Amino acid sequence: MSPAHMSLDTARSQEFETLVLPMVRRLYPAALRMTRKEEAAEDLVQETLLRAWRFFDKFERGTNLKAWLFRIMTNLYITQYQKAQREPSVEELDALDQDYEHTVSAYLIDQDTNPERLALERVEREVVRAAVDQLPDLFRIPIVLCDLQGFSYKDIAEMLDVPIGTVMSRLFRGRKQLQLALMDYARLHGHTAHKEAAG
Amino acid sequence: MTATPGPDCSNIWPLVFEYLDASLDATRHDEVASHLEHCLHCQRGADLQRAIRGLLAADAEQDLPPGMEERVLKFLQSE
Repeated sequence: MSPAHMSLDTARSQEFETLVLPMVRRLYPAALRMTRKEEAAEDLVQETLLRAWRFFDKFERGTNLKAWLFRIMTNLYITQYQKAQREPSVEELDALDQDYEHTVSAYLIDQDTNPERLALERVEREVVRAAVDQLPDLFRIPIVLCDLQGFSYKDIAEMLDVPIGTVMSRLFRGRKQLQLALMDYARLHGHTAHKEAAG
Repeated sequence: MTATPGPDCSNIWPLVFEYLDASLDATRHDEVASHLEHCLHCQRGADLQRAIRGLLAADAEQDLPPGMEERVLKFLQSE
């Protein structure tokens, strides 16, 4: 953002501009994966910054600003956008675990015969985004916070106000679902074939 | 080394996510690490997860929609 756009002139607002505004580039991609819509993501970031501005005096200087901002944004998302979701049952978790282990084993064995086609590293970004977007909120949010943004289990537990064990089980379940979706995609399409078809 | 799962693999699998997050205690971390050294199956499984993390982390920062920075600032100034 160029200085010409800045008309806030107090020390507090200058500090806000210097510290907080550059974080928009990190907040926005996460907001986009949370809301799954560009307009809603922009609104969520704006509301986050407004709240951050109002509570800026409460931010303890020298502590983790990124975690503070993401906590605000996650709270806003959960209270304003997310519908209530129930925790999965033990049976559902067991079924996912079994499905996961079988599918991964089969996939890894297939890799021997078809390593190119099954190289997940080559999956297009758009495919990964779509796979993340298909996850239910309960599992998508921890993935966004941990695997996109690199927060620790402890940070995420504080943001979501749940125990660390809950964060881990949601995160691991989300990763398994995501991995299953991407493996299915690779098996069906293959990246080499997909790229050629796309032009 | 074989790509088919062995008898130890089912004990190691549940720990692989935590291993990759560097969140296991030292004993368990070493246990997983030494299993991965000699088990191609679990090694590939871990590589698969690393690949997915890499794809996800690539989206940690991205370009903003055109004009968003200006709109955000205008919004803040109007409030």
